[in-house]
Amino acid sequence: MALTTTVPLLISQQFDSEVVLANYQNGVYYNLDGSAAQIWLGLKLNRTVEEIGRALAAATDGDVTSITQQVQAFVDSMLAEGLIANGAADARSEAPIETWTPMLSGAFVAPEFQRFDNLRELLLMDPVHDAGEEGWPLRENQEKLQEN
Amino acid sequence: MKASDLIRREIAGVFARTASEPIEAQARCGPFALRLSFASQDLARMFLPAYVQRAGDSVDLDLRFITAADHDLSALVPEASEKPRLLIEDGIYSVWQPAIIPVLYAIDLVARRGIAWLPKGEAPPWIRSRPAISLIHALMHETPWCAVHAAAIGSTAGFTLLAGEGHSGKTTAALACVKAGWRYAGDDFVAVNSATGAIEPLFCSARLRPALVDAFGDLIGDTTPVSDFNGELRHELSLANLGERIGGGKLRALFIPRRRGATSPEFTPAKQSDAFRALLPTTAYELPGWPNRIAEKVARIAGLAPVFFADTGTRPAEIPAAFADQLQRL
Repeated sequence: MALTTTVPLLISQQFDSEVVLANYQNGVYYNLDGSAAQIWLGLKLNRTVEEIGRALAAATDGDVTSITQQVQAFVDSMLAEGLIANGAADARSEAPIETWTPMLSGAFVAPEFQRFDNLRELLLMDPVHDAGEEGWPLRENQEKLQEN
Repeated sequence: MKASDLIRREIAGVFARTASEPIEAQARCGPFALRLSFASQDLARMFLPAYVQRAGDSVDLDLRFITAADHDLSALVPEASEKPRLLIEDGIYSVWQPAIIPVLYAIDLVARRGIAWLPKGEAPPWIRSRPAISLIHALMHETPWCAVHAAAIGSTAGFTLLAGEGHSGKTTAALACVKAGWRYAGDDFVAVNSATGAIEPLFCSARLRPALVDAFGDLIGDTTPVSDFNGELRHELSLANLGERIGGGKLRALFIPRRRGATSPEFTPAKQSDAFRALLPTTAYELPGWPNRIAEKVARIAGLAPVFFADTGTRPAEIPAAFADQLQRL
């Protein structure tokens, strides 16, 4: 099953080697740094777990098998958290695979994300924010009036 | 008929029915010139103190505040009216906020006409302090401007944005600087140009918690109303009497207020991503529509100036000198 970083109501922004993800549905923010950010960026370019594992191992002189296992575990945790989804993959970059090089140096450090949910309660209580993008259904009697 | 066509027709109807409303005023709201009309003295009393009233020749938005007693717009209330709604369609932007006290905002972006319709004739206090901000957000969509959730104050060394969640100390720091003679662009939402770093006030309101009355009691006028929403008291200040000190300037630094136990103000370098996380949540949640575009603008704003965590300490009177010193170092 392909993976996609395009998830409804999830906003992503890259700052140098860091990625911030904001879940507009539940008010939870995530910070991805180091190998975690590189894995997310690799998925965004539609690289497979194996491709990302090999690229990270090459960038850090690490063991491909061990790193690929850690990448898979991290991908599973992102799936569970709703930061990526199964489904139609993001458009694969036209660039050849060799040109995607993770921005990492030094020894490989296990990926993890920071989770910020201190705003969650505040946002969920807020009476203004949750105007859903569900259109503007006219009331039935209004639609009849318009037809006459 | 499409909902956008119906809303467009009703907006035109409001403006066609009367050439003018009893109370009219002109105001600046971020980069825009507004012509404000209020159907009654009560509505003017409710909303006008929040606006930066400035005369001008041009009008970017003709905005009318009306109630159900003035215009029957019940045809616009959507099906399942207990649910908030957002419509962005064919040049119409509209928000229905039911809550306890419902409000309908709608703007025809082509005709540059907007309405704030209050079915019950009143509005919640947080809407009175930043009236029709969602319509200003809609006007900003095609521009580099963004309404962001932050306070902004400025001295000769430049402006700083104070970004952080509620109770982080934004209002305390902003009003301490106002008392020290700084320029003031807002304590809640301000307009920032994401390309140039220009800052402009949206409103001249400030919402003061009772705990801050001792420190800033002299900013509370005899007629300053006190709102009580679900037991949360606020002195609803209008700082219009600051005159020309209500204004904007160029962004020089972003401070993220946070309490870490310091007695005197202390600064710690922070990252662009910290500023993004401090600015985005309330900005995006209070301004319905175009969340990706908001995030892009906020990310750019977060990268326009150095970012610092600011523990504002326990003595508000020390804040202006500490902020000025930090800005001078940059």
